[in-house]
Formats: sequence, structure tokens, C-alpha cells
Amino acid sequence: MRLEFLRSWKVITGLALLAFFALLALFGPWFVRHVLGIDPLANDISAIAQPPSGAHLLGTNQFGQDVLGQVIEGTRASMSVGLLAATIGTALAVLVGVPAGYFGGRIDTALNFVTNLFLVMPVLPLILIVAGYLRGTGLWVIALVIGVFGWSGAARTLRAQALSVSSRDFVRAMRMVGERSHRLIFFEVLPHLTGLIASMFLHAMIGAVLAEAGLAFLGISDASVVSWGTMIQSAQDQSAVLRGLWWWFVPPGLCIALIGTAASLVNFGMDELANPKLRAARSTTVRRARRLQRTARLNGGEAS
Amino acid sequence: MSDDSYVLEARNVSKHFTVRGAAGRARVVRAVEDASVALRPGGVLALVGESGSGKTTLARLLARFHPPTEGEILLRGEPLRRGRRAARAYHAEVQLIFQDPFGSLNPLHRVRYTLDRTLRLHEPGLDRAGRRRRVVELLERVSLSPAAEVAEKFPHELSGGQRQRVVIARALAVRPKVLLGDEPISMLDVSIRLDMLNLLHRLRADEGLALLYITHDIASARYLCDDIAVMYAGRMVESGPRERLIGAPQHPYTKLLVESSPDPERGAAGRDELFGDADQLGEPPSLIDPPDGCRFHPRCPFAMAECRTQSPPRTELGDGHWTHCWLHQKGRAGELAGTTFASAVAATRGADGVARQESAR
Repeated sequence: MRLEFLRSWKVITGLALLAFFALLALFGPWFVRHVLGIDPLANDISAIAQPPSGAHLLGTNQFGQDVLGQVIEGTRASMSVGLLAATIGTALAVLVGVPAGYFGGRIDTALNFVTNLFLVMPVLPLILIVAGYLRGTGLWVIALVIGVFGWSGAARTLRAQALSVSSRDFVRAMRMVGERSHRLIFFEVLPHLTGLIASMFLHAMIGAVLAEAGLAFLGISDASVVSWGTMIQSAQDQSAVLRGLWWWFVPPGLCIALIGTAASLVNFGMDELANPKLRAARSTTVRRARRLQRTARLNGGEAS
Repeated sequence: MSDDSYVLEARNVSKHFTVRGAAGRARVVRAVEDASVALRPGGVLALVGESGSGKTTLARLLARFHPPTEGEILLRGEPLRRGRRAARAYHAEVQLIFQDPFGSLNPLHRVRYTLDRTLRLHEPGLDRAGRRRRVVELLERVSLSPAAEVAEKFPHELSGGQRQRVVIARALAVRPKVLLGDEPISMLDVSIRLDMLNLLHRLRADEGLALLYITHDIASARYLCDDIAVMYAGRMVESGPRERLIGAPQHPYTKLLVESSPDPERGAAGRDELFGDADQLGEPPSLIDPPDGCRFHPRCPFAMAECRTQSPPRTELGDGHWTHCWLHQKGRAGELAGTTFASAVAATRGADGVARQESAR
């Protein structure tokens, strides 16, 4: 029953894509160097800004670096920023939102105030300022900044859900039996929110991958590490769009889009399971239902 | 019997809730007013009343879910202390059984987890094997067998009656002195209600538990309880030993309750006579703006001038039987026994009609 969600094609496709990128992030750098024999950082002066060809499957960039090698190499940086930022963001959302909903009263007022503060803060300019202030922006710092500034919406949702679960009888009953608040929060209330938290995590991951690319595009990144964001940023730097070097910026952009699609597919699939009303009818089913209806009407007409 | 033989007592407790309407206007709901109950070890008190009469609120006051607005609650003669530690100590002795067995067990935990956690908290000396043994023992005590198998189930794999037994087992794991049952059988199938009542009866007989049994069904109260207290619109109207109270109700509302409870022995013959005018029996009043005087007077066929202005004092009828009704203060108590509620209503309607016609003339 727990694994029912694996039956939806959306969930399966989404998870497969995510798994593919996860594998790429784990083994990509090794694969590039030892199987493909490419050094993604090496400059091949004989092939500068070459379109895709047999020698360089996705072409080379302005610096004579292999784009395929860079895309695969960049997966690790982008994915780890995404995962780390999503972990930090989701953890903060859980730690702020769930106690707020569970305790209510003064604790709720305080935690909700903080949430609202982060909700109305203009996040992007703030990230720019913080990132500029922290200088020497490594990937971890970027992930931290993205996570710390991106939890508030999720905390609001979790607070509302926790509020509703906490007022149910089984929580009251366990409290009456003497269970302590932290056990009630983490063992009675939180398990009811896992589906929500999982989808928030995926959502946060897309957001973080996008944010990393966006920040890199604005020049806030670790120049020594290849990520999809830095690739797009250097393509922008060298006006790749104007010069028609599409093979330079399309692959990393496509990867970001694919990760976004994958996470959204998983979320959609989960939503449909939780709420069958969202399930769109398949065209074959609709046609069959109509045909049945028509024959039924005809038969009815004959009978009368 | 002296006062200190009571294990749990509520003295003149009231509970007012403040509700805010859409316009932000605060209004006070007088859910419970001036109610007193007392439970003694091995005794069962039934709290009877219709929906909205405040019986669940009273149970929740006794379970410390809300503090009373007025009055006090005494556990073995001592008033409650504030604070979390005191609440924990209190709940080691007083446990509430919720009405809805589908809502009071966490659907994500196995039965074993729920009971095991409770045992961990209340018998910290037990080791793992000891707790396993106690879980089986508890489940057997509430007649769930095979206990070892039931312990591994999730709530959704159990029937309503089985879940309610698990809920009772959890309450028993605490080794309480008092069980508060908030309509514990109302959501169960009729066929297993009697089993549940027998289980409750056995618990109080074997372990000397004090039991507060809340119900709207006076027949089950009669089956299980020693004493019955009747609530109407947040107030207690009558209380006494069950046979006296049911055999000869001394308050018009109790009379209405007793007469409207289905009695298989009565058959269909008496139905018309009793309920011919059932639609004229009225409804309970709003608790936001309760009627002055006796809260039952708008529905009461015996109502007099006093009933409309002053709330009736308590009349002791001996043997622990008392009531709040002006009839007893005014020497009209005899009228209650001579008639049924419905025919009294019909009679006043007739008289009112005549009076109205005369005044119109």
C-alpha cells in the first residue's frame, strides 16, 4: 500500500530522471575522465567554439573546453547545491512550521512572526548582499544562503497542516497518557506530514538548482568549480547567444529544465494519488465510457 | 458517606467559552454552569443529556483539557495544582476515553507501539520483554485475542469495537483510578455495545475503577451505572440512584428523557399516546443566550412564574437523590407522577389555546 505511488507513470518517469541525474552527479566526473577520456577543464586550443562533431559530441566553448564533459562535470555541483539547499530549507521549515502549529499561542506568534519576516523579505537582493558580503563564495556558502532564505513558504504550509493534525484526538490521547511534546511532534504529528514534506523537498530542490544558476548568472559563484550555472554564466560573458554558439548554453539549460520537470512530475503524481479528482481521464477510457452511454441510451429507447 | 470517599469530584464548576463572530464580536457560550459530580472507587456515575447539554465539556474539564472558569476539581479531596508536572501526575490517575475510536489512535502506528509507549512512560522499570508481556496482558484484559496478533496490527485493520478496546487498553496501561468515558459506545455497532458495557462493568468490579459514563442513551446508563446525573443546557437538573431516578423522575426533563427512550417492552401500542405530539416537545436552547430562570422552562409544561425568573434551588429528596425544580419548592411534585410529559404538553397547549382565544376576544 505504501508503494502505491510507484504505479503512476508520472512518478516513475520523474524518479527515473532524478535517479539518472543523481548517478551522473555521483559517477559523472569519474566517467568523463576515465571512460570518455575528457578533461572538462582542459583547453584544446585547436578546437575553439566548435559546433558538435565526432571529436566533441556537444562541441566546445570559447576556451576550447568540451561542453559534454562540462555538462556532466557540472551535474555534481548543481545537484549538490540543490540537495544541500533543499535539505537546509526543508529542515528549517519543519523546525519552525511544525512547532508553531503544534504549540499555538505565544510560541506560534513568535515563530509565525519570523516566518512572515522571511516571507516578505526581498530574497534575491538579500542573497546578493549576503553573498557579496561573504566573498569567496564556495558552493556550500551558496547552498546555505539559498536554503536559509527559502524556507518561509513551506513553513507556512507546514504550520497549517500541523495545526490541523495536532488538534486530532490521537494527539490529545497520547498527551494525556503522558507523552512529551517533542515525542508528540516528531512521532505523532510529523509522520502525517511526510508526503507534504517530501514534495516540498523536491520543490525546494528545483528552486535551489534554479537559484544557483541564477546567482551564477549574476556572477555570484565559485569560478573554480564547473556547474550548470557557471557554464551559462560564462556563455553569457562571451555573448554566446549573439554569436550563435547554442551548443554552449542549451545543454546546461536543458539539464536544469529536465530536473525541474522530473521533480514536478513526481509531485504531480503524488498529488493525483492524494486527490483522485486531479486525475485526468485517459482518452481511451473517455471514448469507451461515451460509447457505453450511447448504447445504453439506444437500448433504453427501444425498450420504451 | 463522607466526602473523602470520593476519588474525583467537581464542585460547582462552570465553563464559559468566548467565541468571536465574523465581525469580531465576542460572545460567551455558557457550556457548563454550576455543575457538580462526584465519583467513588468502584462506582459508576452516568451523565445523561442530549447533544449540547455540556456533558462532553464537563468530561473535558475533568480530564484537564480546559481549566474551569469557576469552581474547582478535587482529586482525592485535594484541589488541582497548576503546571505540567501536576497535569502529568493527574493523568496518571484520570484517563479519558474518547467518543471516536477511529480518531483516537494514530493511524500510522501499530497497536504495539501505542501501548508500548504508554508502558515506557508509566512503568519505566520494565524491560523490553516485560513490556511485551504487559502488552499481551492488557490486550487480553480487554478481550482482544489473539493478543499477540492484534498487537502487530494497524488501527485501520481493526473494527470500531476492537479499536475502542485498544483505546481502553491504553488507558488501563496507565493504571488509572478514574476512567472518564465520553460516549464510549455511541460510535460502535449496536451488536457490540453490550460487550463494551460488560467490559466496563468488569473493569470497575475487578479493579475498583471509578467510572464516569457519559451518554445520551438512558437505557445503557441504566444497564451499567449505579447513579445517574441528568444535564440540560449546561446545568445539572437531577441526580440520584438509577432505579429511583428512572422509576420516578422528579424533574420534567428527566421525565421527558425517560419517556422518549425506546423500550422494547413497551411495544408499539403506547407509541401514539406517548409521542403523538412529539414534534411539539421543543428543542434545547442556545447556550449563548440561555433563558432566564430555569433553563428548561420554555419547554416545560409545568412552568410557573418563578421558573421564568429565578433558577430553582436544589431540593434534596433523600438517599442522594436531588433535583433543581420549582415544583418541589411549591409542593406540586405530585403532578409529575400522574401524567406523561407528552400529554402534559398537550394539556398546556390546549389551555394556552383557550386562553389565547379568550384574550383575542
